[in-house]
Amino acid sequence: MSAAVIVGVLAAGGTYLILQRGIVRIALGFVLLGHAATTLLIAAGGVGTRAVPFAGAGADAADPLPQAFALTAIVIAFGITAFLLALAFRSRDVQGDDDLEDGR
Amino acid sequence: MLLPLVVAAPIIAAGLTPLLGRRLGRAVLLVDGAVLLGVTATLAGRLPAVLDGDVVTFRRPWLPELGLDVALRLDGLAFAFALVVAGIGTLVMVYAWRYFAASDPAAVRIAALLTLFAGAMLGVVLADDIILLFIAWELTSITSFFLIGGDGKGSTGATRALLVTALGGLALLAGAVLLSLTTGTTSIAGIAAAAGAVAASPLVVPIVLLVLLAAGSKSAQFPLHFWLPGAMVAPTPVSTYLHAATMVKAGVYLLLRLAPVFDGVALWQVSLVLVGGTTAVLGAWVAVVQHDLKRLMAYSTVSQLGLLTALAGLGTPLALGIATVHVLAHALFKAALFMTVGVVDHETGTRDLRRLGGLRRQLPLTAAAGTLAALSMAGLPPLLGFVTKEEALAAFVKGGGTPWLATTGLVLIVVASVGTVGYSLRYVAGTFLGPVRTPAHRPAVAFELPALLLAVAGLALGPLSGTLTPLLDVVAEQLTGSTTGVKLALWHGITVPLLLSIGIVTGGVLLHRAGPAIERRLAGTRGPSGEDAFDRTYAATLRLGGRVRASATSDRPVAYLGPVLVVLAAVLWTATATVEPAGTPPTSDPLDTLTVGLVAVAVVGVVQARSRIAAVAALGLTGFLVAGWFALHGAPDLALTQLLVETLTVALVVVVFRRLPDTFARGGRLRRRGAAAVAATVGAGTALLTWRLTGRRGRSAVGDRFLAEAEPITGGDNVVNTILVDFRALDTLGEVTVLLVAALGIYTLVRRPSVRPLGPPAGSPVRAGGDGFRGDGAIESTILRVMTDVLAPALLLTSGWLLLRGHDAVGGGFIGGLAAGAAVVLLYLSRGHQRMWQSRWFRTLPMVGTGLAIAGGYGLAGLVADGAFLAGGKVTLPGGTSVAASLVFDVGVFLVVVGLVVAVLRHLGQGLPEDAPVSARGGPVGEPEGRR
Repeated sequence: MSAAVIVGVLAAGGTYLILQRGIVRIALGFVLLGHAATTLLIAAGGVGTRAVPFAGAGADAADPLPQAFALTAIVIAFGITAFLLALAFRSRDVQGDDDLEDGR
Repeated sequence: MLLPLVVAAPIIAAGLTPLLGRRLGRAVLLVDGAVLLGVTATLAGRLPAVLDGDVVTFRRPWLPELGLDVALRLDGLAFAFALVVAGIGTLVMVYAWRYFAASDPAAVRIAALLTLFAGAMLGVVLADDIILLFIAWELTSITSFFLIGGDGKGSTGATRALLVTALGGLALLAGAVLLSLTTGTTSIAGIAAAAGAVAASPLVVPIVLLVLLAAGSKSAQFPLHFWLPGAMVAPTPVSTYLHAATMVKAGVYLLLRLAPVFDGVALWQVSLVLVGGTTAVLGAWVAVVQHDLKRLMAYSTVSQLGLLTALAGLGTPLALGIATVHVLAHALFKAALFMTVGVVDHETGTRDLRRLGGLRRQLPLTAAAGTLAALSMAGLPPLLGFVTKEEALAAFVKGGGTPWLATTGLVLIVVASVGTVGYSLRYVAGTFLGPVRTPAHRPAVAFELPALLLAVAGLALGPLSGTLTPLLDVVAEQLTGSTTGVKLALWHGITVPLLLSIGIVTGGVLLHRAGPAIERRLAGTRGPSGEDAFDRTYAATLRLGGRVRASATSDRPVAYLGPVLVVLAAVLWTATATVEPAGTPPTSDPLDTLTVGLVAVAVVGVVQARSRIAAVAALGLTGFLVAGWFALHGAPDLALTQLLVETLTVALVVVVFRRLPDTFARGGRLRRRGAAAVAATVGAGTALLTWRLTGRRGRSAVGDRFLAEAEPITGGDNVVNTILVDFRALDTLGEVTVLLVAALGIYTLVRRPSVRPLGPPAGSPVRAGGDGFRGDGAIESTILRVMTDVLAPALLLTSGWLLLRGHDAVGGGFIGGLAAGAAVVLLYLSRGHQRMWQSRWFRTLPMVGTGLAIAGGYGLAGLVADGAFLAGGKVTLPGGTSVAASLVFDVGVFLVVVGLVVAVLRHLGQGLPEDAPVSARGGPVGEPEGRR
């Protein structure tokens, strides 16, 4: 149940933000959506067994595969955030702020 | 090898023309003329063989998989057209040499294009492969476009001509494909041999219509004729060559060439005769009231092409044969007429009939040429035009196929011919007779001579028209299998065509007399114009395209994201509703619930925050809580990664925020409510989906396998890390590449020094100075400096340790790289951008490049050593301990991650370069203020 709520809350917050003006808020929204995706991956792997998945962890070990997926997903999301920030930066350089919709 | 040479020689000459033109200037036209003269002579040398019925062919495989050949074929029909192309081309080159001023740079360009066109046109008439014909056909359209619109002022006419002929080109391609599908060959001779299959095919109607559209657009048949008068903005040599003598005949050539294929197809006969006859009448009678001599000649050409089309439709041996000979006659008189118009225009400065007159004294050679050519056009004896017009009338009188059709054609041609006589007389009388209205300069003899040569040839070939009888017969026999039984001559006795001719000339003279009265009646009236219809359609098409584009492009991300998210929500809800969950739902700990509750609060904080700093703080909190949630779920690697990423994200966002206003631009109420509604739907949908469809089973089989086999296979205890660097290393390589692309993106976006100073932007109400940041981005703090001196090396050491132990414990390339990135951020904050920019170590491209090279090199090493990309394995060190080879791969990952952090700091964290000049308004000099 907690997994469903955390995914839903993060997805809702991220969705709200990417529909706003301004690249920075959109970037923040993407960060939240990234969280939603990684938590969904872990939830999909099952939350019943929670021991650290090291060799010899036994029957209680968590599923390592979703964790590997989630780990790379976090780093990729970081890369995308960095790129969105560069866009915001450039937008400030070119038009004075990061608002994508003013004066159009 | 004769035929390929004939086509290739002009094309090669065209390629060399710009080079030669640099030296020779306009004289390069004579070089190109010499090449065409050579082609003419080569062709002329084949004359006896051609008249004997010999056919020369050339065939080389081109795309054998498609059954396409480079196939050329010289028979009687091809010979007549090729001779016109090369012969008239030679004279046009000489004429153009005098037409262009010595200093005119357009001359060389026109020379190259005209010569290229000659090669393309020879390709059209010599091709024996219908796809090859199509390619050459399109090449003539394209060269025509550049020849009409070359200097920019003719671009409207050029565009019209190109679009109409390109439409025809597409029709030709479609028709050619259907023809080759029906007959099983792309060879034109093969298609003609399989004529029965075409006539029996259900595709015969679309084929006929497509071929008619192709030929009609190229040869300016009603209602597509309008592009030809519009193309008269081209220089006169171009009009002479392309739009009178050759290119516009390509459509007629196609019709004559394919006439045997459609022998006996009623649709072909009826549509060609009616379209051609209508075009002939329309062109002739519109020409009668033109004042611009070039437009008069253009409508005259339209009319003559209509006659030729009607003859092709009639399809009898005499009709096809005399059409070919009339092409010759028309080329002679029409090229001559255009040349004389060009001379008049060139020497008087006008080609308006109302301002011309009496030029017979000042331009006697041109007057002689123009008069002879015009009389030949009018069909008066003893000129060649008389002979061919007589036989054309005779062909309709004799008829063939449906009787009413030949009669209708005959009536139309007679009516058109009356107009022809009228405008021919109008040209001669208006230009050369009467009082002088505009005086003329004296032209060079070489400028006048080509027209005179052509006109005299038309005069000589009248009495000598008997020599053309073999050509008439060989064409008729090769196309239809039977000869005409006609001997070309001036005098056949009192015949129906002769009586008709007498009537036509009488009518024409009366029409000429009545000319001024007709003009007064017509003054001010303007019928429906094809040009207008075309322009309206063209503009409407562009508008439609603009609307389609506008609906798909927007500067507002919400315009894209909104619909995508709504669809996504619909899919989520549908999927959740239609799939029945199986298994028992997962349970949660009290700690889970607490974490989730805190996450919800933090997310509300991010969403609600008005100031940027508050939003970032709440975002960081969210990330830390999510990291805690990972830790609760047995994922320490994830938790550590998340913590580090969140720290870096906050730091990097702050770096960028220094350049942005403190508060967000707020959306309107509609946006907030709408976004909230979409967000609630998406959030509830994802939550429901997660609840119903996940976590209802135990570990996956593949997860079990990794847990059991990771240590034996790779020697690593940290199963997550072994998945990243061993089992699924190819995925990781891809992900590292994504990071590299992000770093490259940042590098290219913000490569050059910033155009605006650091600090709050103009108009920002708060934090004007004193924000704690120095101009170069560093924080003014002694404590930070001292602490960094200790912390940064410690962090770097830790990151190395995390990297090394990653295979067996929490850590690895991603985590180590993020930790090292944190150390780099600390260094940046205490030392400033300037130091970082100058450092030899913190450079974006070398760092990410080296990282990817190491990771990729490791993969290749595995390929070489073990035969598998990214093979991995263990390496035994001298001490006896074994180390996983994938550590090398992790080093590459590490470097790319650090490189990304470096990219952000180097390119987004830059201060104002200290030597950059600053304008009075605060911005650097040389960059416009405001938006660009």
